[in-house]
Amino acid sequence: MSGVLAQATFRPEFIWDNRHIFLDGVWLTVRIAVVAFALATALGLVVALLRMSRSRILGPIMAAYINVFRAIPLLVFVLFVYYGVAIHFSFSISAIQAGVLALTLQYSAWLGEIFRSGIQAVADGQRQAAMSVGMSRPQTFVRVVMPQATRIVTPPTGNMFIGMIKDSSLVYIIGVPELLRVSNLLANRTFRYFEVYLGTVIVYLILTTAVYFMFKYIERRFQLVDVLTSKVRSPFAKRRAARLRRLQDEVLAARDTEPSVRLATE
Amino acid sequence: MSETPTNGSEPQPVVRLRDIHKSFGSNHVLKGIDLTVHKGEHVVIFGPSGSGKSTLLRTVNLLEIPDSGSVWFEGKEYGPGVDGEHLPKGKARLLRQEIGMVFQQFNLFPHITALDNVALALRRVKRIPRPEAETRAAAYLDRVGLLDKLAAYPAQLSGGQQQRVAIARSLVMEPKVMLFDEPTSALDPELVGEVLAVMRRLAETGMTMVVVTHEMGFGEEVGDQNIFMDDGAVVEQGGRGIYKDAQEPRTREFLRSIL
Ligand SMILES: Nc1ncnc2c1ncn2[C@@H]1O[C@H](COP(=O)(O)OP(=O)(O)O)[C@@H](O)[C@H]1O
Ligand SMILES: [Mg+2]
Repeated sequence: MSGVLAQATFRPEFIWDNRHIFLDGVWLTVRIAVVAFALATALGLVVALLRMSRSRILGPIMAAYINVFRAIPLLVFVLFVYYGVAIHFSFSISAIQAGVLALTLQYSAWLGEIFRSGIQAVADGQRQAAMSVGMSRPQTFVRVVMPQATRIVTPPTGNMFIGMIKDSSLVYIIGVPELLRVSNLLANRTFRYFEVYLGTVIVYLILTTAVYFMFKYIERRFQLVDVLTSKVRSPFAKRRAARLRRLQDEVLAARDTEPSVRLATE
Repeated sequence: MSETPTNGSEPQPVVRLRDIHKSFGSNHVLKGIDLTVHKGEHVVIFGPSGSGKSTLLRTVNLLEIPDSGSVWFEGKEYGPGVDGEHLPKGKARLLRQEIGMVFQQFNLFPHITALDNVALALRRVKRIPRPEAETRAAAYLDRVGLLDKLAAYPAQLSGGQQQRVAIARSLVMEPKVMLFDEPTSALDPELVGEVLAVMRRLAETGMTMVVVTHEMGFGEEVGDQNIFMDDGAVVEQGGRGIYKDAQEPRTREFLRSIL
């Protein structure tokens, strides 16, 4: 009936007029994506570490974990976790919890592989150097390997977060009222398919672009600058530079006490 | 300390390896090596690539655990021991705190400054508070002539400067022995001199050193004990004269080949 008419004229203000619906949906999308991603990151780190362990049991188990979760289509997995397992076996978990669980498990497999390759990309000489000055294995991992691996995995991890925001839309299928689900309902009720889905597309674009720039910012923060020779603006860097200059003066003043230990001329 | 010989015998060595064997899979890399290093002594090891020099050096501080053999440090057993002997074992981590090591590829930590590279082990291993650790680290960077570079990151330093930071990183722990694994092999020719100069000065201060190098000039100048290794075994050892008149044909051939 009115659907035919509605398609005739494009009314962009329809999107704005229904903003509270989009906002409710996107708020749930963000919460699902952030929670699932945080859990997947923690679980992914555990998966990576166990995968690399010298244990003959844990290593292969984790390899299987990674391969299984990466091999199942996410939409199928969401249905399986909620209808297949949760409902069938009467686990009392909500659709949202089931959706978060499915996303977490699958993303922990992808992230686990990213973290493993990042940790293995840190040169073996780094571990040897740390051990040679007497650092323990945990100290070597936390102080030397992790910071370098973090830099290596940040760009692919950012891509995974963007993927998580997009993939979180698939939990619409089990009735979670996130952005895609509320969009579907709105479109079915008003027949303004073009306006509704245009609004949905725009909101996803804004979200993923924001995450993209967030990770660009984090990557920029990793840049290494010599606070003594470059122009630094941050109050932290200025304070650090002042402290290092005092340290240099201190050492110069103490030089005369033991001139014999100097190993190099200027 | 053990300067005075007890009951007429030799003074106790700082490092003593005995009958060290190491294989990687079916590759028998060390075939029964003995090495004795006394306090203040400078040992120079040379030999063809793949002969096991790095593996031997890494055995001294147990970065490589030998399959069998004795790794003594100041009279204490740290290795698996020679067959039939059951000796008290020291902890590898404590051994490494007493032994410094300098690598061919420098292996500085690229994500922290020169100062933090030198201060890291003081803070995390010796648990010295940050201000005190930084003061000591800066003093050691000054010793190797890099006080002005303390805020630089490794990537902002030349190879020679990186290797000097690496030397300071080891020395700051006040080790009793310093190991050098081809410390100048990765350097551009014009940067070799500054690193060798620091090592020569360090030798003059009486530091006990084991140096793998193909810089024969360095061996002739400071090498008290010069060892030629080939195929996992010691072929010949001798004093400074070994570079001019080696006895073994294999040694002579190798020395001719690297000139
Ligand atoms: N971690 C390792 N795993 C397997 N093989 C190794 C390892 N380290 C060294 N090797 C092998 O041991 C032999 C001796 O190596 P190395 O001690 O580095 O010799 P050099 O320092 O004299 O060149 C070589 O054949 C090398 O391939
Ligand atoms: Mg080598």
